[in-house]
Amino acid sequence: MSYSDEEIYLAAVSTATLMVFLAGVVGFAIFKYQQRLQIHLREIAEMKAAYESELLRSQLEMQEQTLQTVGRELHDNLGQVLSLMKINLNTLPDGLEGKTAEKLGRTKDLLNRAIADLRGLSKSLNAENRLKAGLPTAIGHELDAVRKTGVVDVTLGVRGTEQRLDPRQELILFRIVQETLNNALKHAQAKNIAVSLEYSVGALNLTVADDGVGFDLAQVLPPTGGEQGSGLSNIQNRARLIGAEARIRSAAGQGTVTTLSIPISHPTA
Amino acid sequence: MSIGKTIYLFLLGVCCALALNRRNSGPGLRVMPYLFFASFATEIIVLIFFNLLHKPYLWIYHLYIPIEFSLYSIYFLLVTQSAFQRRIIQLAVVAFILVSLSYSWKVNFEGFPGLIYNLEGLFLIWWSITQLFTINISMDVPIIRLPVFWICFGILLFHSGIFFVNFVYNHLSVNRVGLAKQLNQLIITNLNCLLYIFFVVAFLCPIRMKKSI
Repeated sequence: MSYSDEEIYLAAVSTATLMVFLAGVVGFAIFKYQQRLQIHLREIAEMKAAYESELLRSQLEMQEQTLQTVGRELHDNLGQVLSLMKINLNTLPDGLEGKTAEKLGRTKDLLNRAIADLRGLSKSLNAENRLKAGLPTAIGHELDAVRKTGVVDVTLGVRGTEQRLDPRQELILFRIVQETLNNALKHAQAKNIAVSLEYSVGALNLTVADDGVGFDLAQVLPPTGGEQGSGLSNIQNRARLIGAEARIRSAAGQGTVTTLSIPISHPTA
Repeated sequence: MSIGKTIYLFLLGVCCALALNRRNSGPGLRVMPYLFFASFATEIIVLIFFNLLHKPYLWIYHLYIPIEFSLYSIYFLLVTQSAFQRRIIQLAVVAFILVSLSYSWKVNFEGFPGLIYNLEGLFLIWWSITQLFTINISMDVPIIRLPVFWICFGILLFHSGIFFVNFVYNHLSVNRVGLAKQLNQLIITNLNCLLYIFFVVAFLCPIRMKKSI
């Protein structure tokens, strides 16, 4: 078999064309691989987010059950014992005098206060019960308990017509408020705490503001999360779980404002 | 021996060393040492017969090509996920060996088996393209960090590049010896260098991946 120069030239051009075409195929394969990789990474991220959300939901359910059990046990057992003590003390003869009578009177006062505190604590732990009357009422009871400590002044403001949320959303919002109040009492050395609920069409804005020492948000809540800001991270994670957006504003010496915005999909009065 | 040929043999030696050192680096790569040693042995035999003994040497390619194709096929069998594709590869190996040996028998193992080499090239190009589009995504790794990408890319460039030379090599080596030598140097040797550079990169990929982890 013999070939002319033209045929050899044509074959060379064909080969070069084939090489260029195959290089293009490789480029297209790279592009398709990158597309598949992006889809793969997105699926992994979604699975991870779903897993973390499910984990957090389970943790919250377990925590809620534990709190309810502790609340019920306190009310049913310790509450009963304290009530019996009160009955026993009341059955003591009236003829006591002097220091003994004074001590007995003080003991009865302490016992009454212990029973009242225990009831308050039991109700606070059993949030579902408390939330039956609605979120503003439940928060109001919580603020009453804080007010009784005499350490801080608390105010509650409700604007707009109250709309009921999904029970799970209300429960988590209530727990977030509890956590925020706890932070303000434990760390902020606040003198005033103001809670406001603002109901608008299809949304609820809940704000907890204190005039405490505040903190540098960047230090307490690093971008990657982590141990340091676990309380604040918890607030944000819980908010995300119920579709709410949590914003925390704080600066050293300027107090802290925590705002939660949650859409109300099926508002009910 | 030309500079290009020296570089090619050096790269082949590097590949042999890397393949021996890194034969457990990933699926498929364990077959590569056999491929490189077969290539190296073939080149040595060619050098001895052509440069020292001045005797015909093209017969060695009649033996080398079926061996090379079988080893490449084993590589693709190890890296391919599709059972259908694996079945095709298995059937192709048997068919190719039969066709190749029949052809060599017919031509008395003389001349360069360009047609057979092109048949091998077509199969390898097909499998490389299929493999490139079906690479299993199991990790967050860009494609250029995967050995299989460089091996398939190298095969695609090499076999498409030598396609035309294979067709006309026998004719040119008799009728236009100068042009045959030029093409051998310009295309076959340089594409061989490129192919083995890609293989070196393929063997370095797992090392880079381990370091980046």
